[in-house]
Amino acid sequence: MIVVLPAADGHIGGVVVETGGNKMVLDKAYAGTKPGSGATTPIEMSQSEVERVFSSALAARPIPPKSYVLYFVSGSDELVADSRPALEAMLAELSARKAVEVVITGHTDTLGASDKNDRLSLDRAQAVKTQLKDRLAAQGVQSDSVTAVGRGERELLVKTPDQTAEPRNRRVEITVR
Amino acid sequence: MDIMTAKFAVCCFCVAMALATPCAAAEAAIGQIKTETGTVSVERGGAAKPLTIGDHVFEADTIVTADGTVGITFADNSMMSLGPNSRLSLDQFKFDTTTQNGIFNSSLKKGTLAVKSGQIVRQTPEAMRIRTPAALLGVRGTEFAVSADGKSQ
Repeated sequence: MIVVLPAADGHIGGVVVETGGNKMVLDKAYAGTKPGSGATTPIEMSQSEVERVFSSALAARPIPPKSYVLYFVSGSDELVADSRPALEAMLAELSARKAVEVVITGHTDTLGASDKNDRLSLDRAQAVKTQLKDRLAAQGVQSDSVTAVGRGERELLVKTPDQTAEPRNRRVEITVR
Repeated sequence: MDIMTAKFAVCCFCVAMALATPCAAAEAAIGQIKTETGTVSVERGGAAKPLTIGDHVFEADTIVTADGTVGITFADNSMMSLGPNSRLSLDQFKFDTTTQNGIFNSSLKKGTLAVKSGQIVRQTPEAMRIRTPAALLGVRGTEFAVSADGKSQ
């Protein structure tokens, strides 16, 4: 059985299923198919059957990753006051998990060349990793479980044209997973 | 360079290659075990060993649950969890953290699998594929479940 589940964030892209030379798209919650049944179009699976077949697999799902956005005073490693609660919430989230990894992702605005922004965002992420080393270690998260990533200007929080200074895009996102 | 020096140089090269190979093989982990109940093991390089929470998984690993269940979070934030009596091969996993381009191919040989896709699929729909004995799934996102009965169909 293959069945699409309701997504917590409401986004259902779907699953393309190829079976026995036939191809179908399952793109609604509980749309499904049973390979070998000969069906060529999706059927709606009953929730009770899905729960019966998949209850153990569903119960074993990890806690989803959680992200926190932090802003720094321009040109410094000092958090803006508004971001302090997000940092504390991130640190608190660490203790809710049994095996924790932390991904620190730097983002820039579109000012400057995109390859320079890749470097800039990675440098910022690495600086934050160094800065948080002791506080993460105090929660049992050693540096080999912490990754610094630079996304440059690929993931703008606020869409802007190229060569636009936008402080809201210059941010660091910390994902706990 | 005389013949002895040449032989020594070749020998050094061979030793360097031999030393380099295990380094190349010790590739980055692609995911980490986050939940586990009962007995769960990994088949890696022809040997089976038990898995526990916090262990890492690697490309080409096969995850096997007997009476247990397991949940894994991968480097692109995708998640997979297996019910009992399942067998899942992590055939191919490539992920560029900067561009989020990647590919994630796996095979559910038998059992039950719940999936939530991650950044690879968000960047490139259908770059995540799951094969079962009866079907090939191209994933556009995000949450779904798949079972395989273990018999070829």
